Amino acid sequence: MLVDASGLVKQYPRVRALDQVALQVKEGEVFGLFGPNGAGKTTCLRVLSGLTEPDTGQALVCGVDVRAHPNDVRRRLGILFDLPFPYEGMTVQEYLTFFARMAGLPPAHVPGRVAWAMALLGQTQHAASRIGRLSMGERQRTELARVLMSPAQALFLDEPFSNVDVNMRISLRTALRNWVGQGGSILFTSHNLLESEAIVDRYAFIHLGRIVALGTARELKEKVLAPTYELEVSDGPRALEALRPIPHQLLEAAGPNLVRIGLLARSDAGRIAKALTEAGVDLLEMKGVGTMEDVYRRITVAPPPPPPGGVG
Amino acid sequence: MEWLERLPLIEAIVLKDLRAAKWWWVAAAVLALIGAIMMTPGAMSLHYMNTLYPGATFFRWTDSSLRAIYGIVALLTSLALGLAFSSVYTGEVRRGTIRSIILYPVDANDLILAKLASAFAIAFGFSFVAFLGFTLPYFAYGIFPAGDFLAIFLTTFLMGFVALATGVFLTLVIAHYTRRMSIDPSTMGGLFLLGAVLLTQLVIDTVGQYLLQIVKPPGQYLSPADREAIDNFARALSVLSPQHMGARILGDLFGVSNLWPDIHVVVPVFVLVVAAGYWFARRIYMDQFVR
Repeated sequence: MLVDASGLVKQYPRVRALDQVALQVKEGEVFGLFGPNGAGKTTCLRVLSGLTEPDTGQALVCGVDVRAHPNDVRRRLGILFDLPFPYEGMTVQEYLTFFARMAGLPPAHVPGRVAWAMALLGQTQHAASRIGRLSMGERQRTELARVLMSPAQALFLDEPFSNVDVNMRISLRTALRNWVGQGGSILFTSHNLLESEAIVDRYAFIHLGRIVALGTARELKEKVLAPTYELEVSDGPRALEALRPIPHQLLEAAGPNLVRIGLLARSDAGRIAKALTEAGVDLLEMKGVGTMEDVYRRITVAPPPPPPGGVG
Repeated sequence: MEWLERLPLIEAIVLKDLRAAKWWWVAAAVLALIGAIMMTPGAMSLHYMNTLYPGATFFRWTDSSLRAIYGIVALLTSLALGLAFSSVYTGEVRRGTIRSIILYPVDANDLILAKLASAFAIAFGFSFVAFLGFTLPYFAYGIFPAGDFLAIFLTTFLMGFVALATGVFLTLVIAHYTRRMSIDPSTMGGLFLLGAVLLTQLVIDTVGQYLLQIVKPPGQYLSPADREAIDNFARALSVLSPQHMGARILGDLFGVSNLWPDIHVVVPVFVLVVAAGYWFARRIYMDQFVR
């Protein structure tokens, strides 16, 4: 277990940023921490990095007790926080060389590692450019290069893909997957849940400082979302009639010969094909509907308040 | 972490700070050039007088000449130390770049030691070049004793650094108890640098006499007893100043005075505060350095 935290509490004067947070990140896993702004994601990363003192709780990160040795734990971490503050007067090469030394790389390995990181992030042509003159996307790539070249066991990445273009995101996801494949772990926060599905193995949703849901995408969808399917059929109106007896919360035409059905019980899914066959309707395709964004909304969005004065 | 692992990190921060300090070297060169241009005519005329009348302007240390020159050099070195520390530490905090440094395995001691080392190197280079600019003409014509002047420079610089380090490490002690960086280390270091100059016997004497004269009714002047009381007060208070200690040591070395160098307060306070600051800083969480 690269991260094993339990009972973490961090109280600020006006807000409880972490409230009994417990999470485990295994070797070779990309773990996503998601939640609304101010939910406690960054505080959680800062506590696990040994930068912020928790009020109570325990955390072992890469085998180091974060409360006992808060500064030692960062020897084993590569950390990227949202809103980096780079040295604008340095060139990309100088910047990466400085942080390669800060990461404890032996001096003989520094030039090669810097060149590798710049090539990986497509920054080689900017090696002599001052960071202050780079675009936001290029700065973000430089920050990612800084993190990836450190000899870390785990990466803590806060919004790593912000400002990065689509092609670079795809190659970055591959680079991070390769990195994880070598036994490292990534603890990852983002607001982009759709994109995260391509890289995250397990999710934790944090809301008002508490972990409110934890699991793989499949587990969370099954647990949180109603089982909803989109069916492509040979005859839409007849399919709607045939499916009506199955207990559902949603049944609608989603297009010509396209039907969407939201079941009340997942166990009724088997009845769909049977009902259509009995009605003489061909089932051409059936796919589950529901993204991690739907999960997120179900978990973090409170029901709207009742109208003033009540109803009726 | 072991020192062998920590030293490369401290060295990396210092080298980074020194690379960013090029404007300091430009400023020092300009200041030295101005100083040399201003001082050369005076040195030349003194040299000419010495040629005409051998021994006429022979330089000899007296209590007042040592105090005046020591005071000027102490001001220069203290100013350079304060500005250099503020530039490398507070500048980093204000720009936010310290947020990147603390993502690496440095603790508060590594950071503060690195910043003190950077300030030491920058301030030493700056003030030494500027000092040489102003004094070199006199050395070149053999008017001032170069070794003595360099001893004054080194002493004021080291005593200023003692004051700065004491102030900076005191903020770490306070930060440990308040659990936040309540006082900016640059501010505290600057106050200690200023205090080291203001608490010298000469300054307390001068200010004390001035203040006492102000509160006296019009027409009344300071009596010998008043002056002696102020002098005693100044002597008692000045033991707190590293610059006073340095001046006493040099006064003894140059044969101007034969007084106890008053090391009994400054040295123990410095050792205790630095040791306590170092001890407590190991437990300081690095987010305290972020504004």
